[in-house]
Amino acid sequence: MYKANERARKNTGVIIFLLLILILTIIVSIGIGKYAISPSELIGIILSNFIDIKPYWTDRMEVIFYNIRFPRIMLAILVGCCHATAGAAYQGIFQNPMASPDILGASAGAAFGAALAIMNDASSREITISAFFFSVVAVLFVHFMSKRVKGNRILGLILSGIMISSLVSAGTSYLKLVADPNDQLPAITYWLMGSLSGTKSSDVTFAIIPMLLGLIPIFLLRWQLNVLTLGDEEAKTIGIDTQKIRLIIILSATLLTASSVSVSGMIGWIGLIIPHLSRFLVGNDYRYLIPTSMLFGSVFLLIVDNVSRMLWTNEIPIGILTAFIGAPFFLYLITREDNIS
Amino acid sequence: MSIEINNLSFGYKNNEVLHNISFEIKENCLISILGPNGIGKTTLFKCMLGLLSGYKGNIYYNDKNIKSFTSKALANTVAYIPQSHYPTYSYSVLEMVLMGTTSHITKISGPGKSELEKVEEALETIGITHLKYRGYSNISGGERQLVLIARALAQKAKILIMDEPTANLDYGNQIKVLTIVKQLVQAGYTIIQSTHQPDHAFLYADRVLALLGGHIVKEGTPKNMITSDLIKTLYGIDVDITSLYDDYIRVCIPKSIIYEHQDKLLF
Repeated sequence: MYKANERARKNTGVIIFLLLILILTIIVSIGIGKYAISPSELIGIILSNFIDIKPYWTDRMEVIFYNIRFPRIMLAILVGCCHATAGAAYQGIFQNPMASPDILGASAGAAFGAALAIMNDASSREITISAFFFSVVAVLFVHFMSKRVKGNRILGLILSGIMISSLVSAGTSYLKLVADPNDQLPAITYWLMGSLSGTKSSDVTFAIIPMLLGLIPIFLLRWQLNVLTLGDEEAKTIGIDTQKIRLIIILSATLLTASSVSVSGMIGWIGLIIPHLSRFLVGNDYRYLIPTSMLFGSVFLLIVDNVSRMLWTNEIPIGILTAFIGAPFFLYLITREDNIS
Repeated sequence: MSIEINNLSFGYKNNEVLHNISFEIKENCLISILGPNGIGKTTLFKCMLGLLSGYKGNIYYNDKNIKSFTSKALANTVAYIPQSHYPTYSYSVLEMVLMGTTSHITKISGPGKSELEKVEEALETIGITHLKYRGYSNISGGERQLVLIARALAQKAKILIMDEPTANLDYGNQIKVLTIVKQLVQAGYTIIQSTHQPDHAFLYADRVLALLGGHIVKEGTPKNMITSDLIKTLYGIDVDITSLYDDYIRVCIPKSIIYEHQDKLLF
């Protein structure tokens, strides 16, 4: 039990702490790898853009920093942030703690789009665009489908989401069945596991605009999200245009999910567990929950990605690791004695 | 604020729930709506709160049709107090009451200092300042009901609609809630509540409205209205209406009790 200002101060403290951790993790992440870059070399590389410094680092370091490590780190941060934010937003508007970013079929749609593109020997850029396109189409389809469902709108959305997801997944399975087992099938399977390896800076520039378009509205509407968790009727009587706000949140969360899945594949779990871990830290008030989820998601995925590229000589897909690390940690938290949620 | 309802009809599919309901409520009045379960009290409330739109007829607050209200303006005019419930996510009492101020701030901002003051004031009025930092899920049912009333006060609407505010509460909490409701009427609120207790209507209501089969069967002051005939019509129970304290208070007593023990009641 905290006094109001005490609680606000504690929550603000948590957010600042996470921000510091994020900065620290970024510096460490740039440094580590098969080709280590020390902090002083890192500072030199960055500063040489602005002032003339005689390089005390190798050209290769500069290439690795700009072309490989920096884009990958940026993408890990963005994808983690987007999944966690979308999950927190969906958990709010559906009043369902089990909601995650794939609830409305965004991930299933992206998987189908990617598989279809891979079958047609598309370039990696085309795969991304196809995944993004089908992801958005799947959610829009769910949205319009749910309008025809009689009765409870929220239930209609969730049920339509489940149905469209399984329909689209069946399509993906069929594509896997007819794919060339020598090259296409492994490519599809690998894509579905989710990975940040091979990230290029063009991936970041492709994804960052839809990501920001999704993050900003959810951040701004976070107080309204609090009221929406009370349910439709109560929120309406408090003066919220529930249909409009919910649509904005759904569109934003769809942009977040579609853009992250299309550049990184199916990285599950973050959207479910990070909002819950954040609830442990700052409570259910979305004014603090959204920024905490954003930062926590970024830090979490960046650390897991470091593990994924450092632990073994052959990189393991990050989607597998998030589940391996996430699920046991989550179980530990919910079974703890001082579980407060 | 005055309320006027004109020829209100509403039906779900082919099943008409409300038929041509008309009534007026003056300012500073506590009106209790009596009627058996499933008779359309909640439907009537939903129409009045703007939650249902496919109705025929008109609803006016201070002579303004509610169809002309924006969702914010409607929330500033009429507040809903649901039965005490458990929300999916637990909030503190402070946060819960703070949500009532949402209609006074812009969509993209959170509540600020003046909203916090409204909350303090509402908690003070209801007398639950001590619960401020408690979790809404960790307090008793009666306390949760009081928090929901405080939230409606923070909303600054002058009309309050309460759906069976005393359901699921113990006797002490029922009386506590009803006393506060009565005080709010004296402080200038217009309150409409549904109730299953004719005795509560006798004790607290200024006006009573009886609903049956989607029609208003009677409307008036509790003493004129609540008769053994009405109770028989509404609930199918034979009661005796007894007056106490020189007819200051009346109570309903089920006749079955009296007949079963007639020998003991010869006084």
